[in-house]
Amino acid sequence: MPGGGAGRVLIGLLLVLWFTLPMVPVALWAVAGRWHAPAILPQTYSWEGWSAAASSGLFPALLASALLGAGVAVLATPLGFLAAVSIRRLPRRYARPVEGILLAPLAIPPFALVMGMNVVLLRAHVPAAGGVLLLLVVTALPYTVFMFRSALAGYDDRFEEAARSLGASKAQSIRHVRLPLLTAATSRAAFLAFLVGWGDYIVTLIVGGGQLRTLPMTLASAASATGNEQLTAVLSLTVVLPPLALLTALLLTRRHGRIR
Amino acid sequence: MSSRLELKTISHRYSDANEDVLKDISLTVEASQSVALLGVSGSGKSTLLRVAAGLEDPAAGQVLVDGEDLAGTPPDRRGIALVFQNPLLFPHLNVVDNVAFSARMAGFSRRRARRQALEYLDLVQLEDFAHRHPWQLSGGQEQRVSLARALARQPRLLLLDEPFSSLDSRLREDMYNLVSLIREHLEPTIVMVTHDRREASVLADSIAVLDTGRILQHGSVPQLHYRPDSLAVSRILGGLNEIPGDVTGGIHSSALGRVKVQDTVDDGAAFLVIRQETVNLVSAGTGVVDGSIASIKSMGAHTLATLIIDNGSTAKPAVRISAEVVGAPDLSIGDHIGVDFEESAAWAVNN
Repeated sequence: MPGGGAGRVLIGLLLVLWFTLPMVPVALWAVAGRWHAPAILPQTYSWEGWSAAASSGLFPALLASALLGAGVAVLATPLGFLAAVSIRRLPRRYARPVEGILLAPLAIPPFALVMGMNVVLLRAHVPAAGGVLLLLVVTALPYTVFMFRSALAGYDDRFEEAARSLGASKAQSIRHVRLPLLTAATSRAAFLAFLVGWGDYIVTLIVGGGQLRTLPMTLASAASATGNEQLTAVLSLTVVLPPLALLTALLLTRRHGRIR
Repeated sequence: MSSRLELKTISHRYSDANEDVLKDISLTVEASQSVALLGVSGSGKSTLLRVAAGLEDPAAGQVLVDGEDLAGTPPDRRGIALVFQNPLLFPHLNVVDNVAFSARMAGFSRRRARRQALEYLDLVQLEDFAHRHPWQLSGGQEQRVSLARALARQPRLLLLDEPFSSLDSRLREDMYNLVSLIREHLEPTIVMVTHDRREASVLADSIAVLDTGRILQHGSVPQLHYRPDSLAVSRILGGLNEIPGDVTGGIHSSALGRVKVQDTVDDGAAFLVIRQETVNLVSAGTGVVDGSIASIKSMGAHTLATLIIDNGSTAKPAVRISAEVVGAPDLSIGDHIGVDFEESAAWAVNN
């Protein structure tokens, strides 16, 4: 790493700025009353953005997004695990193409995928919410597969063999060795899958056909109108903050190893 | 905690292989004895341990512990602990809970399991590291904990699969002392796998040499070094001298002349295998045969000198004999010198 310790700190700080700076005006707008150019800071502060958000369906939208994110996570995480396990067990020449297919959604522009699938889903009479969930699970799969692939690559089956030779039954070795060792990968995979559902706009818009009022949908309609800066800022924050809180919680809960 | 292990005519083949990895292997290890399985990688030695531990079901043959056939007994019910080359400490558990693992699996309270674990950590001199996590340990410490964890299982049989091969030579010496200490205190029956003949000699009462799935010879450490059954065993044990010739009535004739060998060797073509450590360098004309020095290699405190024998024979390729001598004798390549050895050191093998 060039620059040694000091250089590393500097680059770290610049990166933090890079991520946080765009959020500063959003955070200010969320509590601004009146803020006209060329003032650097808002001239007055108020909570009217928040009450506007509450009355324009913030809470149902939060709930819808959370449910969608959770649904995607609940489906894509075990599927990703099973896929990663299968790829690992396949002979190499079959594993490669299967892995390629599973990662393919990353390479296809979401818009193309959605437009194509929309027609299929409509013809198959799949309900809008089900269609959205299905497509988002497919979109999330590359992330969960990748997470488990890398976790399993570092996972040594001999941990379980060592456990067996130390007197653990098959079930005990799964419960006390395999599951704890894969906890971190599982929570990371579930988090990424949750984000796919939580932040989605295109699939919800096109396949959902306006029936699903999620947070990004509410945010988009607020942002497309003018004079809604406070509302838009509040909605933006509610999109950004919950995943950040979740990520922080994930990072903080270092699981303490104990045999229950 | 020691039992007698008997492997009877064990054969095994992995599903993706087209050759048996173990071929009709029989081996007996008496209680409290330590046997080393010595062989190159791919000789089947690790597979044999896995079969004994129950991690692999053999295609044929029996594993008997104190006469009891273990067919169908799962690994956790065999009372056999296996220590792998990689320490495989559970990363989500600290050191003491790793060692307490088997007691916890057996249903003991955490308190009791930990108390017992501390005794074993004490044995491997790591009681101060009880509350560290595996990633805070050095390689040698990890392997000690792994050993303590296996011992805490109080196994009838301890299997060691090259557990010290990733350690540097000094740590390895420490581990050898530790194993001796453990043998003194607990007298476990040990089967260890190694590709290091020195390690096998230091740690085991007897050595079984494995090659391509067969046991070539099982015997005491000196027996394997000085009285090998075959050229292959001699080579695996590091023997360098293979002098071609013929045996008639217990006398081997070769470029070295007529040398009395053991009576049990068959008449016909045979190689004279004399350990290089038993060959001495003497003044020309005073030993068994003379030669000129072809190479000199320092082995540390010892020196390995290889001579091309020149007794007028026109054998191709030229016959060579090596001598490993103490110190660094004042020799140069091309020096004309004699070699000598005791008659009792001469040993011949037919193949």
